Amino acid sequence: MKHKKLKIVTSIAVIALISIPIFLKNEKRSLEVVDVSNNMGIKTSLVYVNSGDVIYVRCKFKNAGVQCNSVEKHGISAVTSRMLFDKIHGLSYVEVLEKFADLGIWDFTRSTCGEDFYFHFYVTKAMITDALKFLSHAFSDTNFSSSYLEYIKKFYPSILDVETSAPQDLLRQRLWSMLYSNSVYGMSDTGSSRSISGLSTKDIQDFVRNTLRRDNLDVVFVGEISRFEVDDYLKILFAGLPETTKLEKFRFETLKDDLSAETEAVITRPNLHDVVCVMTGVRIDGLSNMEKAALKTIVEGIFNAKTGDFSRGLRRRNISHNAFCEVIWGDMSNVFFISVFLAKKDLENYKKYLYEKFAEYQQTLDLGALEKAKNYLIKISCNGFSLQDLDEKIETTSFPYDEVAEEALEEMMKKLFDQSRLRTVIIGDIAQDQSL
Amino acid sequence: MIKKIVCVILLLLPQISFAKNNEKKVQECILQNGVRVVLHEDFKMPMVVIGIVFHLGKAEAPPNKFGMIDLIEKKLINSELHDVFYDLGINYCTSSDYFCTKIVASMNPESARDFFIQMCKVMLEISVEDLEICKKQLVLEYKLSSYCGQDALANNIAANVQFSNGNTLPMFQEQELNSITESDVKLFYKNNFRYCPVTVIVSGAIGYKSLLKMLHNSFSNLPRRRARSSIPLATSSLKDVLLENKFMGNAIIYAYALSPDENMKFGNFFDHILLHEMKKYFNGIYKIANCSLDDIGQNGWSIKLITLERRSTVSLEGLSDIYRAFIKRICALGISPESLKKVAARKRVYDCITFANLGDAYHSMLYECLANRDINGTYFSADGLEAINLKEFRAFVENFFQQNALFKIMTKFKLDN
Repeated sequence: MKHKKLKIVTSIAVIALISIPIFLKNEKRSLEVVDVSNNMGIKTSLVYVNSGDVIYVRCKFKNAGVQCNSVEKHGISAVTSRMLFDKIHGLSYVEVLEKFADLGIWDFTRSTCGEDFYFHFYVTKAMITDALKFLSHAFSDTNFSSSYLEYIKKFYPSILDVETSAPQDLLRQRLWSMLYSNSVYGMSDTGSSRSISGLSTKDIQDFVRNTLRRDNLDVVFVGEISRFEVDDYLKILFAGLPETTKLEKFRFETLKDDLSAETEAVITRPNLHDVVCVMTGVRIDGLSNMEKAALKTIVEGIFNAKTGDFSRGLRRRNISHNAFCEVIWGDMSNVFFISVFLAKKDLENYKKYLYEKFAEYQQTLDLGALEKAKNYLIKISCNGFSLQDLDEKIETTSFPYDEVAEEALEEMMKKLFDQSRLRTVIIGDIAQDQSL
Repeated sequence: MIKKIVCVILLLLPQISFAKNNEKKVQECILQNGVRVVLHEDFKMPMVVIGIVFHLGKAEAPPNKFGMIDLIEKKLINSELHDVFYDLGINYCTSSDYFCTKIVASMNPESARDFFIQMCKVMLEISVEDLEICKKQLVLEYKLSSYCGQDALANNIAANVQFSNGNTLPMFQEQELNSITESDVKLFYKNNFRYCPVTVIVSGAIGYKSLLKMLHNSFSNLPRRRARSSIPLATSSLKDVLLENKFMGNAIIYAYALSPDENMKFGNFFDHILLHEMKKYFNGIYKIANCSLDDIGQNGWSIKLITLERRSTVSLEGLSDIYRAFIKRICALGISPESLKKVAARKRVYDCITFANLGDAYHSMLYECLANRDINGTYFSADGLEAINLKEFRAFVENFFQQNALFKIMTKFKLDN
């Protein structure tokens, strides 16, 4: 009897000794980011999080977005995205939606606006293998239907029409064309009707072969999975992507610094009810992660709507406004812009204020405000609400906010507030000669 | 025997360790002062989303002072708190609609206690600093939306939502907004916001006991919340409205109302099926540029807005025909026990994924709170779907598009086209 009891106690002790380290190890691993080396030569990261059954997958083909298309084939990325994912494995559009639902693929999102071509989705662990097998057909079945291509071409002009109706869209398009006057970057990020209408299925096939490759692919898995599982999933999903040979290394086209000579533009629009919209932008190319962190700190510290000096100053001057500031990030080029809606009567005051402030910020560094901004960014950027946020964490925690030094901030302030690089567009019920 | 037990336990270990992450369980309680608290614990990320929902919206603005709620929403967080929250790393935003006003914030769990303490001050008294600037901002927003047509659309929707006492939802008027004084705002806030029903919705890395302790400590000064009565909506046969609109030209918006009883029984399930069928049906037709399903609800009532945007080549009659075919299809859907199991299985996956994300979990709980549905009741879960009475549901769907209809708004870019 005693012997039996001892056996039971010993067994329980053994179990405890095994289980506690496993439990502690997995708790410690949570939010760990690891690079997963694999035989497919695909840059892959795993963000380990105790998410139970749910996995988030994001796949990005770098420099395969619309902004990196040639002028002649502007928009081919967007069309290719439809050709790949609208009808997978011979199924109709509706059947693909049903299949996604059956396979537990949720929030399947694809985008080609900007520099990159990417798609992401959620799936459960129980279904991921079948889901990836289904999605892999998108890359292996490349006999694209010419009738479907014609169908897409038919409704493209109406998509583009919708995008040019709101004042903000008109401002943005005009501003971008001034910041990138001789480049696709300055054109619509959906494509051009003319170039799309000239596309053939061979163009799409060539685009897939030359631009959607393993050596410009960047994949992130977020969830409770191991490196070995990630390796298997990659093989399933991207078996259809050909191996890259050394001779054909993916080439990134360089971007010219081609700001327009015109620094200010006015778009006259009647019936805007005494409201003018002003969008001011600065383009800064080729930033390192440290420089991006410095830029983000400055934008947050000076331009955040609640506590930033810029908005506070507008309120003190009783200038009626709604201001929105953002940085559009890219590998090759970044744009910081301020978009403001004003009462027409405040336009003169605003423009005076804008240029005074830009001159002031170029000279003066408010370290206190920037330090606060840095602390705020560190606090909010290190975690997220969702598994998708944790993917973006890889991008933003590679912004080393805590390492940004005073010199880096000073340098960035000079670049950002260089008035010779400022471009401004106004839209409102004002004449063309009433420019800034 | 002992070896077998050991093997079984070792095999079960991974499941035991992570079982808590697969749970969707939502806990709730009502504080002594009537504040409802809803919590979904999720410790996988050291982050928490907190929403404070005042069940008081634009529909309850005082007569001739529409804009009051918008002003209060803009002033909910006064400028002093901007700095406090910034230093604490709290990111927040406010919003209001016809039926509620909300503050949603995200933060590290360590900041939650301070957040509740500051919010208690806000809930007792509102700052009216910079009120004139807020008015100017609202006027700007209104004028801009006038250009695009958003305000016309919103006002048309408001004018067509009729309550059984003959009232309609109020519409934005610039003169009314400008006539509101600081004392008007303070008085309205004191008499209404201090006492209106409030729900605190939390999703993230806070334990139930810790949350209750924080709320007992910080919200103890709040006065007791009043109960609310809702005025039923008046449903009638579909009214037609034609509107010129640059914001959403070439579209039709169909509005339907679900009573609290119908919403409770079928609302969640119906939404799930309706949205899925809409995506399948309309996205496959190139004549349809976009389709969406929105919900403006209050106290159990749900007003569903089904919007179809057509490409310019399709006439309004053509669009109506497409919609009629869709209704026919959905009524003939024939939900069988097998397909119900399929829907329930999909819902399980959907809930699993929703509750893996703090923000989505928050919104899901918010939606259930606003619909006045039981947060953890059968109709919130996939298990409950399989218990649905199919005969009743089928009858409900067949009648829905006729008996629950409110109005139809058709928009064109230009009325002479």
